[in-house]
Order: sequence, then C-alpha cells, then structure tokens
Amino acid sequence: MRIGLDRRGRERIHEDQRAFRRLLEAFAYPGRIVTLAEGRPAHAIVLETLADAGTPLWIEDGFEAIRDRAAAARWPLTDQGCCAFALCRVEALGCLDGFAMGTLADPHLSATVVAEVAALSGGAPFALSGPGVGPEGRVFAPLGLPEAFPAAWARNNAAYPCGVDLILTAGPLCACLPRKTKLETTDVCSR
Amino acid sequence: MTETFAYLDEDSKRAVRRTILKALAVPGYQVPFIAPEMPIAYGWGVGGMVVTASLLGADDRLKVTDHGSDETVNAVNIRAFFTRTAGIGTTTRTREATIVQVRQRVPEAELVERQVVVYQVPRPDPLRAFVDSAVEAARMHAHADYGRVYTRLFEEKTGSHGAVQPGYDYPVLVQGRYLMSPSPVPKRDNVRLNDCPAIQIFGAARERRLYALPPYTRVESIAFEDVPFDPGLPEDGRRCVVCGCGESHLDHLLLRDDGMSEWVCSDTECCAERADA
Repeated sequence: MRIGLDRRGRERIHEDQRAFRRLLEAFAYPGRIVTLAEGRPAHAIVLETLADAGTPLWIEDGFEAIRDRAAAARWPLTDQGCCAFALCRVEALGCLDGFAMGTLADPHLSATVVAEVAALSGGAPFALSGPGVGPEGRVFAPLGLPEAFPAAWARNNAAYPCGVDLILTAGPLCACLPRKTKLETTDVCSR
Repeated sequence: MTETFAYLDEDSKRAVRRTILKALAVPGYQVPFIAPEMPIAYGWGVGGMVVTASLLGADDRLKVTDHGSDETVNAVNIRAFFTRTAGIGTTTRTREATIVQVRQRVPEAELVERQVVVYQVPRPDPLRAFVDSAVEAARMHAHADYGRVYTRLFEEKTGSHGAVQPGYDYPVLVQGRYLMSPSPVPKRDNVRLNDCPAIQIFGAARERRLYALPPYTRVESIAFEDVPFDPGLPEDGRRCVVCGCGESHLDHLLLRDDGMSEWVCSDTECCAERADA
C-alpha cells in the first residue's frame, strides 16, 4: 500500500490533537457548538483529523478543495454506500438510507456523515435528549436542514445500535448528533 | 523530546481517535481497536496509555492513579512516561486534571464536564465469564441476549450458599442496551459511573477492545426489580487510620498483633484532603 505524505510539517501533530479534542467535546456533548480551528472550515478539519488511507470517503460535488487534499493524501474515494466518512451538502440529510448503518454485530461499521449547513443556530429549535445531554437538556437549532431531516433522523434513531453519526459544520464551527441523540421539535424558542 | 509526541505515532493516534468517536456513539459497545504497542508489556496498562496518548496535548494536565493511589509503581511510571515523551504537566488533584487515567477505581473526587477519565481494562467482555467463545459472546451482545447473565444472578441470589458474586468488576447495563464491564473497580464504584458529567473511555489492549461512556449516560448494575443491587459496603465499622473516614473505599493495611485490622483509604487524594481539613 502506498501511503500519502502529510506535508503540513511538525506543527500538524498539535493542530490535529487540538482539533480532535474539540471534536471529542462536540461529539460527547451533542448539540454543543465548538470551534474546531479558528479561520478554517470545520468540515476540512474533521477529515484532516480523522481520515487516512484506510478510510473510504464519499465527497459530494462542491467540495473541490477537499477532493484535491484527498488525492494528495491518498484518501481512497468511494460511493455513498461504502464510505466511512461522507462529506456532503445539507440536502443529502433528507434521506440517510443510502449510507452504511453498520450491523447488529458491528454497529461501529457505519458512516460518519459530515454536512455543511448554513448555520448551527437560528433555525427551528430541537430539544435534544440521550447520552451526553445533561440534566438541563439542550436546545439545538441548526439553520437550513431539509424538511425531511427530522423523520430521517427518527428512522436513524430507531435502527440503534446501528445508524449513522452526524457532524454538522458551518464555517469553523461544528456540532454533532451521534446516532442515539433524539430530536424533538420544540417551541421553547421564538422562531 | 522525542520525535513523536506522547510516544505514539500519528497514524495510530488517528485510528484510535476514530475508534473513540464510534465508541461514544454506541455507549458500552466494545469497538475493535488497534491497540498499538507501547514500551511496556500488554497487561500493564497499554490500553489506557494508548487512549491517553491519543488524547494528550501540550496544555493537558494528567493525573494517574492505580487502585486510587497516585503513588504506586504503575501510576508514578505512567506519569513519568508522559512527562518525558510529551513534556506535559501532571497533577495529583482531580479538579486540576484534564485527563485522569485510572486502574481499578473510579475517582472519588467530583468529576466535571470536559474531563476525560481513561480506564485500563484487563477483561473487557463480561460475557466471557459465561461463554467460552468470543463469537458467541459477540452474538449475544448483538441481540442483547443477556438471559444467561440474569439466570446466573438469580441462582446466586437464591442458592443455598448465599451470594457468590464478585466484589469487583460487577457487570453494568448501559442505557438499557449493552452489558459492560466497569473494569475491576469495587462494586460500590459502579454507581459513580452513572450520569457522570465527564467522558469515560475504557481501553483493553490485550483483547483489543475500546468502549466508552458519554457524559450523562445511564449505567445500572445488573439486578432484579425486587432484589436491588447491593453495593457491598462493609458493615464492621472500619475506618481509615489516616483520615478517619468510614465511608470511602478502604484497603486492608495490616493485621495488628492483637488480631485487629487496620484500614486505609484507597483514594489517596481524597484521604489527604480529609486528613488536612
């Protein structure tokens, strides 16, 4: 196997580590909005931190810079059904059925979907519940999700322990919805 | 400092980091993990060290305990290892630590959000006490087929010899779905795993499994509705000879000439704080 060289220099070790810890926080506390790296798009940081030659990627059109990065780093590209990581536009979240969900025996073999949204706040609010959501609960209101997303996500919840995990990004910001996080439409915030 | 920060190479860290996220996504499920080699033998905390090395950054403050103590060989040497290979600061105070690596105890001090507790785990699969085959155990986890575990529990409760349950490594059910080993912590520590604000990650290098508890996860020790879980607290009035505490988990220190035992807190940090107060 030929492996790609990472040409970012020694500082990358610390960049990756910082980004991962922030991503870990976002993933452990669903709906919490974190900055992965100042001034850089979070969707690119997620892939740079986690992807390598062993993780098939599906990159939708519209992310040409990442495609070039993937080619340089020899990240294998594949289709929607076989990818470990997907980078997609928000429209793709209307239906999650095309992604690998894992199996009952191997629920970890499911896709991690990274989707760029218009903003992580200012949209229709959801009340989150599930592991990682504290006693006070959390309201998460990403902007620009497709109308069909809540139903698609409920189906994803129902497949537990199988299911995709979602990382939403908007510019340098990121927030996560692991598969067990439930969404409830809420009217606690003024729309 | 050596070429690789915190000893582990970046490719291994990347694979471990991916595993950690999947483990958080399915709380209590044992994700296969690469368990790369560290410069100590498997069985001495490699799983925990690999997780810690994958998390660690220059700004972190690391606390390491072995059976609650900051001063045992395992704890001192793991701290020294990361001080040398990552140049990070260490501490013995839980509230100052960003990462706490532990063995055989859940920290008694209060944990807060964003802290990460890393457990060294020898036997990650509680079902292996019931079935010899790893394939069969995996199938049972896949279908949440835990009937045999409850059957054993029932037999132990009703058997003529009374309870023969272990006093440590007592299985827990995570979010009502996955049976999980809490690692060999005393039974009473199980309740501290539940609804914890910190992130808890369990690394088992020999068995190449990693699992996790996201914050605020429901963790219940297995029991029956009408026979609740017994945390196994001692009832002989024993107290710590250093701080006088009767509530914390106590280790047997020595047997005096008059036949009486002396006990000492296993969690040295909390013991020292009580003794100073």
